[in-house]
Amino acid sequence: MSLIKAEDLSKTFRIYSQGEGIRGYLKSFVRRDYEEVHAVEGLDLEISEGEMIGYIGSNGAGKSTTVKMLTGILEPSSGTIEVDGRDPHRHRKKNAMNIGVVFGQKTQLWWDLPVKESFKLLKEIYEVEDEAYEERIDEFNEVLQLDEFWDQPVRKLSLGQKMRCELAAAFLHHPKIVYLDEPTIGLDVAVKERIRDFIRKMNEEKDITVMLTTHDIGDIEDLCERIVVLDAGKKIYDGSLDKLVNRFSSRRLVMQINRPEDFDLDVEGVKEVKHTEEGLEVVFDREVISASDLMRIILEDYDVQDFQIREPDIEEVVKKVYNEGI
Amino acid sequence: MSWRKYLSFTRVGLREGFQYRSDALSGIGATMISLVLFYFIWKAISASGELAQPFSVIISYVALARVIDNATSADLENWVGDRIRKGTIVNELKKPVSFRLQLYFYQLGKSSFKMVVRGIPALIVGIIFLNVGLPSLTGGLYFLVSLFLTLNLAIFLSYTTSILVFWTKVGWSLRMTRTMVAGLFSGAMIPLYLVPDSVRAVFDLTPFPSMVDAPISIYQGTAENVFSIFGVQMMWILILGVLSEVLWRKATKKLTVQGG
Repeated sequence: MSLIKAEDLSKTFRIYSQGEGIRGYLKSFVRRDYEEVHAVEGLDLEISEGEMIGYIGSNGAGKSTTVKMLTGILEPSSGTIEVDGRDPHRHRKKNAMNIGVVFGQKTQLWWDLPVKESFKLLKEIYEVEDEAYEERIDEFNEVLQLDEFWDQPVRKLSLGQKMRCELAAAFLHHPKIVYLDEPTIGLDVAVKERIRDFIRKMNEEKDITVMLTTHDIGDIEDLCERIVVLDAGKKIYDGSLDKLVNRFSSRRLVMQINRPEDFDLDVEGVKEVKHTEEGLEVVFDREVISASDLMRIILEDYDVQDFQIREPDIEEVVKKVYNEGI
Repeated sequence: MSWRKYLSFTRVGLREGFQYRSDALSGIGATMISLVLFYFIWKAISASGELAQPFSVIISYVALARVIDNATSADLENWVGDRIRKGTIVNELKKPVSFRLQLYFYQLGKSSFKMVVRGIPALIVGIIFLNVGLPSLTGGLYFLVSLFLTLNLAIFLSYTTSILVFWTKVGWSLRMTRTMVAGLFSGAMIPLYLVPDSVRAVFDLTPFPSMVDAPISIYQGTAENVFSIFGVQMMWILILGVLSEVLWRKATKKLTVQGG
C-alpha cells in the first residue's frame, strides 16, 4: 500500500510583474498586471512505506511547492493528495503528528534560545514520552554529536551545527514520513557525510519513509534508489537512478596513442571520437559493444601506450536532463 | 486540546524575554522616560488652566494608563510579518498545533515578561511619585482581573491585525496603525474624560476604551459596575476572536510562501 498518493496535483500562483524604472514602479504600484505561474502541473506520485526517494529538478522546478502541499501547508489548486489515508491540508494538525520536515534554508529552532530549549518544546508538542526522549537524544548524539553545543543559543551555531539540530528535530518523534528539502545545502563534506549516515540509519532501522529534495548529486547517489525528476512543474522521470544514467550517458575510453591525428575508427556502437587534453576519447554505448571488444579492435591497428575506462558521470547526466529534458 | 503543548510556547516566550538582560533593562528605562515625558506634557497642559480637573487627578490617570499600556503590550504583527516575508512561516504551519493558539500562548509568555519588567516598575514609580494611590483590596483584585482581560484583548487585537499581514506582506505599518489608533481611543494617550461626550460615544463603539480606560476606573474606584466592565471586555474578546477566525480562513487560501 502506498503511504503517499498524489493524483493530478497542480498549484498555480498569481504573481504581479514589476515595471522597470520609476515610471514602471509607479505604474505597477497603482495597477498590477497579474501573471499566472504553474508551479506544479498534473503531478502523479506514489510513495510506499520505507522508501527513500530523491526528488530532483532545477531551481524553480516546483520541488518545494510539492513538499509544501504534501505537508499540508499549501492547498493544491487542483488534484488530490492522500498521506497515510488523510488529506494533509484539511487535517493539517493530525497529519503533522506523523511527519517530520526540514526546510534546509529555514531554521525551525528558536534563534535566541539554547538548543535544548527548542528540543524541550518539540518534545512537548509531538508528545514524546520522557524515556523515549532521553533514549533518542542519546542515539542522535552518537551520529550527530549534538552534545557539543546543546547549551548554546542557536544564533551562535555554525550552519553545519544548525543543520544537525534540524535533522534531529525532524526525526525526534519517529514520524512515519520525513520530508527533507535541501538538507545538505551549503555544508562541508564531513558534515554532509554525517548527515547522510544519519538519514540512512533512520530509514533502515526505524523504517521511516524519506523524501529528499536536493541539488547535491552525492546525496542521491548515496541515499536514493528511486528518483523523481521534475521540470517546470511536470514530472519527467520516475524510476531508478541506474536506469536514468544508462539512458543518458555512455562510457568513455580515454587513451594515449602514438600519432593520434591518424586515428580513424568505424565500429558500430562508437558514438564519438574526441581529441582532449587527456588524450583520445572514445565514447561508446556498452549495450552495443563491450569495452573489451572495443579495446581489441583498437589494439589491432594502433599502438596504445595507456588507457582508462571512465564510468558515466551522474552529474553530467543530471545536467543534461535539466538542460534538455527527457 | 493538550494544554501542556501550548503552555510550552508560553515558557518559550517568557524565556526569550529574559534571554537579553540589557534589553530588559533598556525596557525599564524606556518606560521611565515615557513617564517623565507624559508628566511634563500634562503639567504644561494643566498650566493653561483650561482643564476641568486639577493636575494631580490627571497625572494619576496618565500614570496608570502608562502602567496598563506597558503591562499589556503585544506585537504579533512584526513576528508574523517577518516569517511571511522570509517564508519561515512554514515552520509554524508544519507543527501539529493550532496556529492561533500557538501565537496566543507565545505572546502570553512575552507579555508576562513585559508585565514584570515594565508594568510593575511603572506602577511602583506611579504610586510613590505620581499620586496613583493604592486601591482597596477588592478594587485591586478586580483591577488584576480586568488587566488580564485587557491583556487578552491586546493579544487578540494584535493577532487580528497580524493576519492582515498575509495580504500586506509587511507587519510594521499595520502595527503602527494599530498602536496609534488604540493609543488614541483607549485612554493610553489622553484621559477619556477629557474627550467630549459625542466623541466618546463613537469611541465606545470600539474595543479600545475597554483596554485602558476601563481598568483605570476600576483601580480608582470610579467604576459604576465592575462586572459590566468585565462583560464588555469579554464581549470584545469574543468579537475579535470570531473576526480573526474568519480572516484566518481566508488567509490560509491566500498563503503563497515566499522563496524556495
